[in-house]
Amino acid sequence: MFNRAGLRLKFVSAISLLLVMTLGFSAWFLTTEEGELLDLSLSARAQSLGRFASLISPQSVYSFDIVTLDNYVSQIAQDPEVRFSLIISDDWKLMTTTLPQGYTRSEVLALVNGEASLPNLEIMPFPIEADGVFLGTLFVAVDHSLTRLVIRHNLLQHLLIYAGIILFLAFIIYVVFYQLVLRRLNRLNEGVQQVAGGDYQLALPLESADELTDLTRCFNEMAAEIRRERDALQKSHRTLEAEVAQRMLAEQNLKMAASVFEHAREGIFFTKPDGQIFEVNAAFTDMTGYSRDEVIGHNPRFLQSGIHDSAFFQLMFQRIKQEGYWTGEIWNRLKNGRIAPHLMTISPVRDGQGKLDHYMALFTDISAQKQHQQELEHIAHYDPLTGLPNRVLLADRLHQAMLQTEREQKSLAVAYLDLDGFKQVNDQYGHAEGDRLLVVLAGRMQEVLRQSDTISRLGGDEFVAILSVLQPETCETLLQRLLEVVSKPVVLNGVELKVSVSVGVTFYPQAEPVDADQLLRQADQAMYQAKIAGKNRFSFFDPTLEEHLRGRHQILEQIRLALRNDEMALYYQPKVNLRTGQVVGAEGLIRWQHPEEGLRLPNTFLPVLENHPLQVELGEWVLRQALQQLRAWSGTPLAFPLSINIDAYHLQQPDFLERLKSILAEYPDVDPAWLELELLETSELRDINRVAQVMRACTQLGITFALDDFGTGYSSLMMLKHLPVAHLKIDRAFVCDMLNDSHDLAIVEGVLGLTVAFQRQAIAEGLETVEHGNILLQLGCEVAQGYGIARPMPAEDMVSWLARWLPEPSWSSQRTISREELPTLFAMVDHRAWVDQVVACLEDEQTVPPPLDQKICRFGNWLDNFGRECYADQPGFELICQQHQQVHHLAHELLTLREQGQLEQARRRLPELHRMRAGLLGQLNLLLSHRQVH
Amino acid sequence: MIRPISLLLIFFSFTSLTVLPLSAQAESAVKPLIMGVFPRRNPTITVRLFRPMQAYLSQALGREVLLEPAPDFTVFQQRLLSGRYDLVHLNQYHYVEAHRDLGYQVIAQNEEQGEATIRAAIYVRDDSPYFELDQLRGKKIIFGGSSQAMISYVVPTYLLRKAGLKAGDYQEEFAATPPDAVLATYLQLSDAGCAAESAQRMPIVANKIDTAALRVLAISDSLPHLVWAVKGDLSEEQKLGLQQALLQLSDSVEGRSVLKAARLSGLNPATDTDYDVHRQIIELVNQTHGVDTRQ
Repeated sequence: MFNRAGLRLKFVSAISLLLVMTLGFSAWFLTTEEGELLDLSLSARAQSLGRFASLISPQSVYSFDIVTLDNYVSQIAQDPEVRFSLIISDDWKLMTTTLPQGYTRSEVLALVNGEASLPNLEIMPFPIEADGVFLGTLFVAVDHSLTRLVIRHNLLQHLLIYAGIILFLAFIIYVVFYQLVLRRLNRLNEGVQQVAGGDYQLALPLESADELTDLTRCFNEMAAEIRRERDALQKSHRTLEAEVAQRMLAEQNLKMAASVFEHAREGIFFTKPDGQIFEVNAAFTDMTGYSRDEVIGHNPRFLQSGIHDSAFFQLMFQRIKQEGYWTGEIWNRLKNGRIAPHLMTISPVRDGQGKLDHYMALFTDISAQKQHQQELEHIAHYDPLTGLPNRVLLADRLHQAMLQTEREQKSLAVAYLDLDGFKQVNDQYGHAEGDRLLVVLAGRMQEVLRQSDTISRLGGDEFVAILSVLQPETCETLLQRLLEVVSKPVVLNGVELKVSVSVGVTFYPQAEPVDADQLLRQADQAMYQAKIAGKNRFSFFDPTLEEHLRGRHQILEQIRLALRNDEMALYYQPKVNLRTGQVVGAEGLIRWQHPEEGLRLPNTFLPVLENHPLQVELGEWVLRQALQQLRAWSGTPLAFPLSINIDAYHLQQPDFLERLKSILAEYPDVDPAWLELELLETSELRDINRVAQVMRACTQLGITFALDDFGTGYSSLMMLKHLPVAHLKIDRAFVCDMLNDSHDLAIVEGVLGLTVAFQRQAIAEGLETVEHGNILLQLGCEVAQGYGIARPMPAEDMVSWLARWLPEPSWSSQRTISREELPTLFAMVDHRAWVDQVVACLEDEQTVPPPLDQKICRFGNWLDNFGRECYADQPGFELICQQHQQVHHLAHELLTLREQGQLEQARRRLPELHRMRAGLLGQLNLLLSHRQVH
Repeated sequence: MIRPISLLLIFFSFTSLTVLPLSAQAESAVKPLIMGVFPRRNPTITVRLFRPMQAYLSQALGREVLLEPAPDFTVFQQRLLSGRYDLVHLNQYHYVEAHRDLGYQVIAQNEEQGEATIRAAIYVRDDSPYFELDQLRGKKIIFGGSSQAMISYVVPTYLLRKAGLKAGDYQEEFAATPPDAVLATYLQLSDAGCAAESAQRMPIVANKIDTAALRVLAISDSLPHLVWAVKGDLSEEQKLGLQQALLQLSDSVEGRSVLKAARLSGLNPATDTDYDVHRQIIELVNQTHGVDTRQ
C-alpha cells in the first residue's frame, strides 16, 4: 500500500520518522541529564542547609535557649523545599517546639530516627558541635517533589523546543524539496494528463538546467508535434463539413424560395431588365384578376391606373437605381377595372458578377387599411352625432383660416354658439329627443352658412362657426340668420320643441396678436355676455369689457369679496291685496352696494353665479338676512311673510335640507311659516322628483314655495303639477304689457286660470299703473307687487312706506269679470295697442301704421260682432261706436299729416288722440260695470 | 577677584572654629542619662520594647536619655556595679545588691498583665509523676536566667529549701531566660522548671506550646515586682523628675502606648522597704546555698 502512495506522502512519512527518532533521542538524553542535575541540586541543597547548622550558637543549645533555637529552625523551614526542621539534643530529646503540621512529636521523632519515611521526603542530619563536643543534631526534612516537578517541567519544555525546531527544519526541507522536485513533477504530471485529454496547446515552462528541465523540454516538443498533426486533420475536416453544409443550405434555400413564391399572400412578379414579365405567383393572379398567361411577356404598364404621373415613375426608378429598391403605395387598375391601392416593393436582382439579371416586385392590397384609415380620420375629425367637424378639425380649420386670412388680408369671425333652453328639452323629453334636436339644428345652421364657412360642434349644445367676412360688420346678417333658424320651432314626433341660441363673436385679425385658443376664449366670453344680456342674441367680444372684468372668475371673486365686506343688501318690495289694500307680504331682493359702481341690480351679477358654488353661499346669506329681518319685524306693523328667491342650483344641493334646518335653528324665535322660497320657473331642474321631495320636506317645516316668473319657461305645467308650490308669480313682462298686448293679456288670463285649476294663489309682478291693478282685479288676481305699489326699498324705509301706503280707491270697487266678458277686456287692450301703434308711427317714421279702417281693426271687429251682440242694448254702446269712429278719423288725419311731412303738427295733436282713447276706454269700463249691475 | 562660593567657605570655616568649643562645653554640662535594662529578654527584643520609653523620657526630662541593653546578666551586672546606669530597670535581687553596694534607689515598680506583684513558680509537665517538691530530689531542675534571677532562681530555691531540699539534692540547670525554662520543662529537657508564675502566659510561651500540658508544682507568695531604680548620686530633682515621668505614664495616651510597647500594664510607686522581703529570701538562700549568689 505504501508503495502505491504518492511521492509527497512518502517524503512526509520519512520526515515524520526522522522527527520521532530525533525527539526520542532528545528525550532520553535530557532525562539522563536532568537526573544528574537533580543529584547535583540535592547535594548543593544539603550543603546550603548544612551552613545553617554551623550558624546555630552552641551557647543556645547549651543554655536551653529554646526561643532562639525555634527561630533557627523557623528560618530554615521558610525554604520552600523544606518540609520541617528540628533540633535534637545530645541525649536525643527534642529542643525545639516547631512541629510539622499534622504530625505529633512521636511521629516526627520516628521520621528522624528512620523508623518511618515519606515519599520524596529526605531527612538530612547536621550535627551541632562546639570545640569538638557534640551538643545535638539539626534535622532538616527536604521535600524533593517540587524539585522533581521543576525538572520534569524543564524537560518537557526542552522537548517542546526541540520538537519545534525539528518541525521547522522538516518544513524547510519539505518546501525545498517541493519547489525543486515535487512541484515540477506535479506540473509535468498534469501536462501529461492534459495532453492525454486532448489539450495539445500546452507548453510547460522550463526552469533552471537540470534533469527535470530536460524532461520537460522533451515533453513540450512531443506535445507540439501532436498538435501540428491534429491541426492539419481538423482543417481538412472543417473544409469537408463546410462544403457539405453549403450544398445543403443552397438546396434548402431553393426549396424555401419556391415555397414562399408559391404560397405567399403577397403578389409577386418578375420582369426582365427590359420590363417583360416572365413569372408571377398565384397571389398576383388572385389580386389583379389577370391569369399567368395573360401577363407573361407583357410590360406591367397594363396595371397603371392613370392616377400617377410620369414623374412618379421616374422617381421610382431613380430610387431603385440609387438605393437598390423602391417601396411605396401605388394605385393599380385591376382586370375588373377597379383601382386598388397596393403597397409595393421593387428590387433589382443581380447575378454573381453584379450585372442586373431581373426585377422582382412584391405587393399587397391595402384597400382595407385605406378604408379603415379614412374611417378613423372621419371619427377623429367629425362629430358622430351631427356630422359636423369636431373640436380637433375645428382647430385645424381655424388655424388654416387664420393663415388664409393673413394671406388674403380678409377678416375672420369666430362665433361661439350655445343653445338656450336645451337643458330643459333634455330634461323634459330625454336625451334622445335632445340629440335629434341637435341634429336638426346643426343641419339648419349648416344650411344658412356658406361653403366657405365652417360650423363645428364642440360638444353638448355648444357650436363654433368660422365665418369668412370682408368686414366685421357684414357678418351680422349671417348671425341673425343663425339666431332665426335656431329659434324656429322643431317638431319631433309631433312635439314642438323650441330653443334659441346665444352667440358670442370675435374677429381676426386684431390689434394685438392672438392665437386660435384666444379667439375661442374671446368668443366664449362674448357668448356669455349674450347670455347675460337675455339670451337669443349675439354679442361681440369687447376687449374693454374683458380687460375690465378679467373674465367670470374675476367677477366671482368680486362677489365673494362683496359678501365678506358686507356690500350685499336685501331690499324689500311689498306684496299687497289690491282689493283690500292689506300688505300680505314682501319679497326680499338682493342688491349689491358696489363701492365704486353704486347700487347694482341682481341681473348684473347673478347670472355669473349660475351653477357655481358661490351661489349657495349667497343663497344662504339671503336666507339668514330674511330670517333676521323677520325677527326684527316680529311684533311690529311690518310682521308679514317674507319671500326670497332660491336658485335651483342651491335647492338641488345634496345637503340643502340639512343646511336649511341648521340655519332655521339659528333663529328659533322665527316661525318658518313666514318664510317663502321663490323658485324660478325657468330653473334647470335635473331631477324634478328629487326637487319635489326636498320641497315637500321644506313644507313640513312650514316653509312655502312660489314659482317665480311663471309663464316664461316651457315646463310650467310640469312644475306646477309636481312641485308643492303655494303661489304662482306671473312674470312682470306679461303683466306690464298686458295693457297693450292682447297676447300677454291672454297669458296672464291663462296663468290665472291655471291657478284656479290647480288651486294655487296668483301673485302678479310688475304692477306699474293703476290700470294694471284694475285689469288684474278684473281678471281675478288680487295680490300684486310692482313699482305701482312700491319699489324695492331698504328695510328701514318700510315703516315710512307703510305709513304712507294708500291703495288706489278704484281697486276696492273693481269687480272680477266673467269669462263671457273677457272679449271686452281684450278689445280694450286691442284698442289701446292700436292707438299706441299710431303714436309709434308718429314718433318713429319707420314704424308700419296699423290698419286705419275702423272695420278692419281688431276693436272694430269686436264692436261689430261680440260688442254689438252683447251690448247693443246698453245706453253707452252707440257712443262707443261714435268714439271709435272719431279715433280712427283722428288717427287718419294725423298719419296723413305725417305723410305730408307735417309730423310735428301731427305730434302736437297726440294728446287729443290720448283723450279720445281714454274716453273710449272709460265708456267700455262703464259698459262692463253696467253688465255687472245687470 | 574673590568668587561668592569662596566667601561662603571662608564664612563656614570661621564659624566652625568658634562654635565647636562652645558645643563641647554644653555637652559636658548636659550629659545624657544612661538607661539600663536587665537582660530579662534578649537584647534585640529589649531595645524594641524600651525604645519608646527612652524617647519619652528624653522628651519629658528635656534631656537626652540613652538606652543601653546588656547581652547577658554578666555584662549587665558589670555595668551596674560600675555605676554606669543612671536609671536602671532590674530585678529585685539586683536591686537589693545595687542598693546595698551602690546606693541605687527604687522609684517605681512594674505592673504586668494587671498584676502589681509577682510570684515564682516551679513547673512540671502535667503528665509527670511529680506532685510534691520532695519528689524532685535527685531530679534535674532548670532555672530561668542565672543564679541571680530573683523570681526564676532565688525564690524557687527558697521554696525548695523550705521543702527541705538542700543544695545538691537536685541537679541545677540554667536556661537562657525564664521562658526558656518553662519551654525546656515542656520539652522534657528537665524534670522541672522555675520561672515567674506569669511566664506561662507570656506570648513567647503560650504561642509555642500547649501550656495545659504543664502543671505548677509550687508557687511563692506575691512579691513586689521588678524595680525601676536611679543612681544614688543623682540630684533629688532629677530623681523626682524621673519618678514623676515614669509614674505619669499611665495618665496619658502617649504614656500608655509607651507602657504597652514595653509590655507593661503600668508602673506603680515603690519604696526601698517594699523589698525587705526579698532581702530576707536572698539571705536565706545564701545561707543554705552552696554557692553564693553574689558571685
